[in-house]
Amino acid sequence: MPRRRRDFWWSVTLLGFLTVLAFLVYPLATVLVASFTGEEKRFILAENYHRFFTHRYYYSSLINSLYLSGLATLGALLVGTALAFAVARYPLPGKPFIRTAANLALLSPPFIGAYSWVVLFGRMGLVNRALSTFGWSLPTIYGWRGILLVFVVQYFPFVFLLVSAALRSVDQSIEDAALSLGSPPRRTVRTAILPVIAPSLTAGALLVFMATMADFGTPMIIGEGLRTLPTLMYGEFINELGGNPAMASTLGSLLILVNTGALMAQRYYAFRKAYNVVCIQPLRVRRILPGLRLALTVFAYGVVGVALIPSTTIIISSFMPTRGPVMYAGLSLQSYQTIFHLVPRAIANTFGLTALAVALDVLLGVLVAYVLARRRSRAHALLDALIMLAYAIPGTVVGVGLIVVYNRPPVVLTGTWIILLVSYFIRHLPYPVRSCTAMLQQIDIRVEEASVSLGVPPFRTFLKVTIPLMFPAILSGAALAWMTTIGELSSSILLYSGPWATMSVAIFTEVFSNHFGTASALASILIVAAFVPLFLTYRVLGERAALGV
Amino acid sequence: MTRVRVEGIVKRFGDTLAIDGVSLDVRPGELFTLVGPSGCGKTTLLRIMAGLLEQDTGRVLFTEDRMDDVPSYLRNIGVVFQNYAIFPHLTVGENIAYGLKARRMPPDRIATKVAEAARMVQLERLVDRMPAQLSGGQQQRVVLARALVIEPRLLLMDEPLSNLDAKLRVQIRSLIRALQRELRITTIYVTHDQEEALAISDTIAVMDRGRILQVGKPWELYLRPAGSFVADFIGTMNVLRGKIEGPGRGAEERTVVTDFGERWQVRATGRPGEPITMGIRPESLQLEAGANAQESWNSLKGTVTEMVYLGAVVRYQVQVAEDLLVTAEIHNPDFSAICGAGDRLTLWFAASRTIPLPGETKRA
Repeated sequence: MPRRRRDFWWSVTLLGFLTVLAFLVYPLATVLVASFTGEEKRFILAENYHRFFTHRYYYSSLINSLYLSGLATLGALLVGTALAFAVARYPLPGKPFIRTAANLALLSPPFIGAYSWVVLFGRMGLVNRALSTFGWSLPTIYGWRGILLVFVVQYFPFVFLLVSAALRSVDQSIEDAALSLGSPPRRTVRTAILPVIAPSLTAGALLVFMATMADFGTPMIIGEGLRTLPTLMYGEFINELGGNPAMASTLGSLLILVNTGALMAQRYYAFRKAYNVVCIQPLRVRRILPGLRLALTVFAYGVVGVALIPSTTIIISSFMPTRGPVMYAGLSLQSYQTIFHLVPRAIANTFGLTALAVALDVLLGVLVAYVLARRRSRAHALLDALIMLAYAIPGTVVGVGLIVVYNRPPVVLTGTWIILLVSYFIRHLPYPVRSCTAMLQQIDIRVEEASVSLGVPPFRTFLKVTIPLMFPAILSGAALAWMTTIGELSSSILLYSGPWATMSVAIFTEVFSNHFGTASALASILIVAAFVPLFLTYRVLGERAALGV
Repeated sequence: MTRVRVEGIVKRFGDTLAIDGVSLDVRPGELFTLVGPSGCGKTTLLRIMAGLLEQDTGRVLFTEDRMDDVPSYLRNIGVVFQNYAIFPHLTVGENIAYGLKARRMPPDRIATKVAEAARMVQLERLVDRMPAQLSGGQQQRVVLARALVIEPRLLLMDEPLSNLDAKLRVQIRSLIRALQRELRITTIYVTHDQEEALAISDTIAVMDRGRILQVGKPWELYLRPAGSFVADFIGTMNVLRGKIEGPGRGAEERTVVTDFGERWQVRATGRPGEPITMGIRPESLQLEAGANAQESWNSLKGTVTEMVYLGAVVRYQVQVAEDLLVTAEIHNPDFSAICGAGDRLTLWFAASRTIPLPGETKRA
């Protein structure tokens, strides 16, 4: 279409830039600047950083975070890749179940996963109390072991999903060619298949690394005082006595540095190693000995079984009678009665804010995705990168940045629901943008041109042709944004105030005040609420796919 | 019927000059083909006429109306794209009705016109199908009906047959030609396939590197190419070089001595001593001189290096000189006359069948 300088899409670009600048770049820049600021706002070069790297209390948090995220990434890669290969290449029974179960494991927010392991294996946990009647006990779940367990169980599905998708795009002829050229099977996997799926493998690793670096709730709940960057940052920022806001900014800046560094490294690698593969005949399922088949089946079901433990535990425990952290056998709706009596507001807040944030994400996301996909320029590449930044930046850092920027005139948002909305909106904008740009790359621009040539002006063509064709991507982007927003804790815990507490915040405070029953009931509602839209999306898209659209 | 004029069009993409000052005049109701190798600018020119791209300079006129500031959706054109560009979320009928709805036609009129258009492209039984349930040829017919049903001033087709297999290509080609003749719609047709261009066109323009090299009827391009690019792009051409020795039998002929020492009568102008480049089509070469006494017959001798037997035709590659290989196509070959590699052969051709290739001589 002929380019006109300042059309509607020009304003969309401008709006995209303004949004990202106001709600992401400016707050983050403020955090970075604050890390170089001392008392009375004078500029100091590296005093805060010097303090950080010379005090064990501070620098141990960086070591802990890197160590935990590194190990968690490794663990998730091993488990996720092994499961993906097993499902893709070998004749296991019940493959759809394995795939669905891995998807379900993604649904519950990680801090709820952490809490579920405490419910089972904590000091007052169900398993430990059962064992104690025999005088037995298990090693403690608290500390780095527990965090690592939660991280691997929570995040291996990322790797599984990405590697499975990559394996589906490898053509059987690649393996056949390598084998026919005399390469033994194991060498073939290493030299012909792994390189093709390497970009997806590294993308999975990056997701796990960034998410675990950013995770605030898990170490808080199961870490028992183990300091990581986000928990220490939260402590330094929130603590009125002995807290150090400049140090909070320093910690935040280090988090920004580590995560954007990882993001850029992966992007650089994947960009250089991305191959265009055309898959006509996917990799064949191979025949194996019955013994090996049994071993792989046990492995696969073991993994997804463990992955389903958290949500199952939460939902079952929500129907158990409780006193404090202790749960008893039996069936009771006591916990649900308590929450509807005690925190109906938090439930309403969560659903209202999530719905509003997702609606805004979809609205802006669809428009921005169209500009990014159809108007390629340096400015648009920059906008794309800035929006993707929201993926990499931990919620704790976004929360601190928003508070620092919006607690003083001209715009005061702290203390209102708007600041929660802003955080939810900006942090989850990448989901619809990603899904829609990916879809638009599949939609031939000539379809739109055909519509224009038939007499429908460009914007009406966008509404009549492009939007309907993008519909699956809009739906899945919205479902993903909904799923990740509804259980958001790391920025909510900083940004909520007074009546604007959300369910995630309520769960968190209930866990810390040892009200496990109400925590389980709230968490169950969250899990179901995260699941329903995703389920509906699959149903709708499945039907559309069946129609051949 | 619309006359289409394009005057002095220039289009750059960054540093590359895609269209280098092109002017064309397309007569009302004709099927006008732009043909050339990929990257020659033919699709760019088509998109400019469609209003999907803006030219840097130059004018586009439909009859007497200047189109340069008219957006695509107001030009009232039908466009058929290479990869169909069918609306995958609409049924066949809805696809065909799309442009009519945009024109706010009453629903009962739309229904009649859609049915009529579907019948025209033999899809009347498939109007309720989704595009994914159709074959490539059927999809292309939907797109054709969708473009024609709006009664456009101009039909623009961008390689409409290139995604189809050989048999369907011929089928849809004759459908397009028949509909275009019947509806008398001025049509611009883009293709890289010279055979398709010859078969379908009233007029052909050969493009290369953003320029028009020659415009003419199919037989004009084939029998009187303006230069060796056109000669070689449209069909196959044996290019031979020599020097003019003296006058020939008529004013249009000269006696020429070739670089490999044969003395020929050929169609040429020019003075003795001047170098000359001549073309001879493979099918103009034959195994014996004709009986027509009005003609001067020339011969060349060589060794067969390759023989391809195709039934109705035998194609020989004949080594005439060390650096000269000539292609000859012998039609309806006689059983006893078939040669194999290594055999010596004498080929004959009439002076009137030689094609002077102007503009080439200087480079020679």
